[in-house]
Amino acid sequence: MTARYDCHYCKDSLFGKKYVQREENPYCVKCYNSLYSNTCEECKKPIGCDSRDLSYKDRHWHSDCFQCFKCRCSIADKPFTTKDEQLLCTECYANEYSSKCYECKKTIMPGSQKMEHKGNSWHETCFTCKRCQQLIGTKSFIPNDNSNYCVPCYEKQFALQCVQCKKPITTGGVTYHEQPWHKDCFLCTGCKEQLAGQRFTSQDGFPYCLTCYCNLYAKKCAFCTSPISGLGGSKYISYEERQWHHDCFNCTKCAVSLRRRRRRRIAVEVHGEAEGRSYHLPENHYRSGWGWDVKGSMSVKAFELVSAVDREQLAGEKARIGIECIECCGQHLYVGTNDGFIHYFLLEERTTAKGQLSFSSQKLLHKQIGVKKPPSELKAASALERLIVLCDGVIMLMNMVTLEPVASGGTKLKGVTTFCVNENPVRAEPFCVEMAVASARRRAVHICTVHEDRVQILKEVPTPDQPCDLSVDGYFLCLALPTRYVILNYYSGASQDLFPYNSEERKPIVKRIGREEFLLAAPGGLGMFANAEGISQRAPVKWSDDVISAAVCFPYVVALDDGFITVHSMLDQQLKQTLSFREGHILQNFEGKVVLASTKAVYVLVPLPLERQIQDLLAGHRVEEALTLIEGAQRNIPKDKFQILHRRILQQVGFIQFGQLKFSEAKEHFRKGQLDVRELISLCPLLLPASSSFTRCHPPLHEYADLNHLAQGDQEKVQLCKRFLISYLCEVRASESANGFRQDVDTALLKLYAEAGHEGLLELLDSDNSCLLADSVPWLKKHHRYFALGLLYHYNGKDAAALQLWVQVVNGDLEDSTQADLFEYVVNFLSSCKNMDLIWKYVDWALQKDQKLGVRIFTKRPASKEQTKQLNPDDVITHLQKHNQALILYLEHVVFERRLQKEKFHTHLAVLYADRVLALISRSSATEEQLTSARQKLQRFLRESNLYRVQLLLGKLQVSELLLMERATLHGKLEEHDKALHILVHQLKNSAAAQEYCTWASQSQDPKNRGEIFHQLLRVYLDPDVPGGPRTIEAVDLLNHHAEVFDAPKVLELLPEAWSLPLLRPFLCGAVRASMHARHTSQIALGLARAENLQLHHDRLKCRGGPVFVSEKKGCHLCHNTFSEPDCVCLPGGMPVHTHCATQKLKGSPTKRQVDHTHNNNHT
Amino acid sequence: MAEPTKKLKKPDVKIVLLGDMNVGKTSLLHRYTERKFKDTVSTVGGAFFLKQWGPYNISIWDTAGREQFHGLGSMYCRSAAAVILTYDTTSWQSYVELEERFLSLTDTANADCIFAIVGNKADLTDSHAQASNPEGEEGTEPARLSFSSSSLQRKQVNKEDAMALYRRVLHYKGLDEKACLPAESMCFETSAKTGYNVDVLFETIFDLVVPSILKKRNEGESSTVDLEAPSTAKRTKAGCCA
Repeated sequence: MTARYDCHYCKDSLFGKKYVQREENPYCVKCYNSLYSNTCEECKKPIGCDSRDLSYKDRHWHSDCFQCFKCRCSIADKPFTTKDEQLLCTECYANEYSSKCYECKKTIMPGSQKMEHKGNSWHETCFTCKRCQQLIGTKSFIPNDNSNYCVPCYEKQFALQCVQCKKPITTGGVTYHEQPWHKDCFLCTGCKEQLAGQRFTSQDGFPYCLTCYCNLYAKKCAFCTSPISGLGGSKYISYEERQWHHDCFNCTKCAVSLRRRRRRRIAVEVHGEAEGRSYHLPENHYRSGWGWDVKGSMSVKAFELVSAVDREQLAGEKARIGIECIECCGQHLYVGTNDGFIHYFLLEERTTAKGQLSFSSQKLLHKQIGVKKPPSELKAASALERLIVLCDGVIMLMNMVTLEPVASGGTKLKGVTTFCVNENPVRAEPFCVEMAVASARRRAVHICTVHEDRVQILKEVPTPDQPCDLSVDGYFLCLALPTRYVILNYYSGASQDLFPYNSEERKPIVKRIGREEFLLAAPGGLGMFANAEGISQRAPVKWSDDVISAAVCFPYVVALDDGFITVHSMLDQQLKQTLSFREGHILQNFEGKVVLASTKAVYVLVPLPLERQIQDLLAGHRVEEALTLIEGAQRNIPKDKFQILHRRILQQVGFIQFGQLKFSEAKEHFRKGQLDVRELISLCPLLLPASSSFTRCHPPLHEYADLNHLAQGDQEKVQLCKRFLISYLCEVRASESANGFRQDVDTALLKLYAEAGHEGLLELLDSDNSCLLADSVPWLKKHHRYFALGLLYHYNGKDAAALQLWVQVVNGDLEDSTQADLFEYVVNFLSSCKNMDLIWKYVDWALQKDQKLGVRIFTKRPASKEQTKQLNPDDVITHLQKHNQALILYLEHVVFERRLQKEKFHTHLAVLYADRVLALISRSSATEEQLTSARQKLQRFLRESNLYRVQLLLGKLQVSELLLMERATLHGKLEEHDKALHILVHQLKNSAAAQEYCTWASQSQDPKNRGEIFHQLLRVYLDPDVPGGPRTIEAVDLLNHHAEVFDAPKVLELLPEAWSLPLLRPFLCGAVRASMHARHTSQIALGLARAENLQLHHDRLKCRGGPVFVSEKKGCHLCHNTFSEPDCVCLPGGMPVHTHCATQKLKGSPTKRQVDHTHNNNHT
Repeated sequence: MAEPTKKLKKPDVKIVLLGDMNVGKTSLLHRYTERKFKDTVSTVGGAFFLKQWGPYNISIWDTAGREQFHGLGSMYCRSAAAVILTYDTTSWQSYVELEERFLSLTDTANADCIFAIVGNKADLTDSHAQASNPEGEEGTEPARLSFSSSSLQRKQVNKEDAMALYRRVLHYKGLDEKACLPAESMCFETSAKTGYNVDVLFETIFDLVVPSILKKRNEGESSTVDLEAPSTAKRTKAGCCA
């Protein structure tokens, strides 16, 4: 019993003492305190059992010690807070740590509503607009100068007011001359087009766009004819009231730039950055709104965002209305809103005078769909006049115009998640639309047809998984399944996996972009293309990771994400344009019109005029893109307009490539673009003739002032360009495309050739050309192309000038080594020259220079009757008297080539020959060779010509004893064969020559006389009276070799008795044979003649046999005319013919007779 | 909808470059097409280049090596006539990846697809490749490579390994090694930086794919009925009526 009331620890008795019971055991107070009590956090004493133990977060206090750290009042029964382990009563905490209202400077009690902005706090009631004192709450506000304003008040109070319209600027304004403007108010003074984002310049303080400025104020460069815009503060040069581009101000003579030369003679006035100055626009965006945000060098301004339907039109005052879906079909725009309405607008496109597109929408109707759910998809079937509406998983049909629901029969489709219309149906049934429908919780796609009054299911196509999104084209369904995209042929059932993706991470996108081609959202923020075979034929585009929707507007892919519209090129995969667009959630291409919508408003993404896009591309030298763009747009532009545009772009592309020295490409584009080649020519200073009416195309096709500018002074490049220009001009000349400005082209080509020292120059001048004399002459002179200049003169009929020039060159007064043998050329030229005066003028010069060549002026003339008349040989001969050699050559020409049968010339020539021979003989220095050749000439001439005066020559030749041969010939000419042969045989002792003489002399004689000459020779041989006795051997030789000409009996008479027979044997044999032959031949001839005679006799008898009937009905067999007279002749065979016909027939050739004969045979 | 399918040139045949990231696929293609070596950024998704080879248009697809785009690989390979498997000679891992990750992508390629194994960056391991620079260094060298150009790195993948891989590829495709092109001629070591072997690689493959173009064309012809062409059927019909 005692133990029960003892302290469990110290075992002291507890009787009469306080004790504490713990876990069934009693403890004395002392032990309990030391064993179990907590220590007070404040006073560090144990909290005994006599006081209250307050604990907070494992810390303990005496109830009296539990007080505010600051004011020391007890907080045991009050609310408190802790800060840095210290206890604070709420008042103290609020005073010490809570934020103070920025407005009233009082503490904002913890737990009460407070507004915070940029580190400052307000009581909810103190957060008011400074101007209207209304609570701002959670509406948007604009802080300004330590105060806040609600948006309307801010606009009224502070926003910049446009200088032009005095209204506040709320979005994207423009600062110009330090004054604010609306973008829409900042217009070109000339054409009233918006200037923001363009380059512009000012005149008298007024802004102008570049085109207007150029047209109105800019001076035209006197050299290249394009306007001097003064862009970029570039200087221009003014001299004598004419202006030049900086790069065009070159010396017209030597093409050296004059711009740095302040010469005494040339007063050059350099205008500084006077008025033609340009500015880049600073674009201020005061608040978030949309505006241009173009990034990177590859950017293009391809689209403009144009508002179509704004918030007021759609929802009026109702704040909660949001757009769910849209459909645009031509001008019809349907908008489905989340309150279950469909709004029907008429969307009209308007183009301002400056070509800017705007839309005005007119609300025609709005109607609530029966169910109170929002429509999730709309699609117009304009052919059926139906609007297909997907709402609450059900597909309904509505009248497109009245929006009245159409009672739809056929199958009811339920739980539909999405549908899509087949734009390219294979089974093109009329009056229905094919669509593919995906339903919730069904692993299938339904192919349906929509008719005016019903939807009919054609086919259920099972799919591997439940489709989330789909697109259809032809037989091909492109499906987004929860984990992958597939292509499914609903006709054959064949399916093709494309690639995996994760539908939990991102909503899939499947868009048909063309025939059997789809655009899909791929993981990693990619837009992938896939065709029906499951092949990607285009490189993917990289869009943002959280893309909501995408569309293709060739050649761009437009993608929409949370804050932006991004435009990507399908050609080079680059991001081209970024447009800021908030809260967008729909983006779709409706038949070429890209429409997008935020929850509140509808916009149209208008492609910028193609021309401008292309020009932008070209400005960046992005040739391929530009060409693709224009060629891709072919079908959207009227044909004639397209052609003009296409041509111009091709030309521009050509120039860009020309600038890059890609000549073959450039040429191709120039050719295709049918470039006025003068555009190219005008790049070379001074190439175009001064008289040319050409001015460069405006707007300019390129940015170059001239080649120097293009090559930036690199002469090598300039040369390359010129070389190309030469080849190109050659081609242009050859084609028809230079028609109309041949002069310009030819003159330019001539200049280029001359400059380059090209051999084509001569070819050009030789051929048909239209080079302008006035322009070419100075140029050719400058380049020392005198020969060519002569040709040009000649071509233009100025032979005198040409000759003068050439003669100067030949004489070495001028230098031009083009034609190596220019003298010969001049002679040839003169020989064909028809102008006698010129010939006489230069012939002496030519002969002095070289007789042999010079005489060709006369000898080489083309033979024509006219010429012969004009140029009398007598005159020529008189003229040539001084020039012996030339005279001989000329006479040779007259005698041998022209075969003038005049005694005078022949005698003259013979005398000249003879003189020459005599001169050679008398001159001891002459070589044997010269003499021989001179004699041969003489001999030949004497022998062959029959016209000269023999006696004269004979007299002449008597002088020399050496010229026996010639004398013999001359005797021969006089028929004094005896003398001649004597000279040959006895004086010259040349039997071969004698025999030759006989042959020659007897050539033209009849056989009798021939024989006579030979007999004479024989006699001469056998003449015993001459010294040396008869020349027996030669005689025998003669007889044996020429047996046929001798008359044997006569010869035998002549021959001495003593000669032996064998000696003469060949001769005799021949003679006998010949006489035998003659006899036999004559006998045969006699026989034949007799036979012929007999034949004729026979014919004659036959003819006489019967009468010949001649009547008017029976025509002549030859001429088929009737007989008018009784006279007639009978042909062999008895055909009566006219006498004159018969005579004619007999006159005809034997062959003809033959033909007639065979002809007759055929008929019979 | 505007018809966006208009194409400038229709490729006749497709060649695909596959391989791990950073092995130099884009650089190889760039070296061949532009004759230059320059810094490339990591390929996004893929890109392709059209090459006129005689009368044919060959499209060469440069794929992204990043794991992220791996799923797209089989789509690029669909009906490819040739696949170039590329590894980095200094990285054994890139070689291993070919077999582990990329080989299966080629399942969608043509049945008669040609394979080539290419070890790029040979200039880092082979002094010969380093020296051979066909037209002088035009591109700026990336800093990454500049330090290594003086000292050769250890070669991690030998040509024997590549040939072994080639045989395994054929085995994988179930092709008879004897019937296919020999491993020696289909394994290349190249350097996009110096241009070593690059032209040889591409032109060898171009020559090899020409037969498949012809084959494709023949098939195409037989299956297409040309309505424009004068048909002989008409004539026979007329004869029958007469």
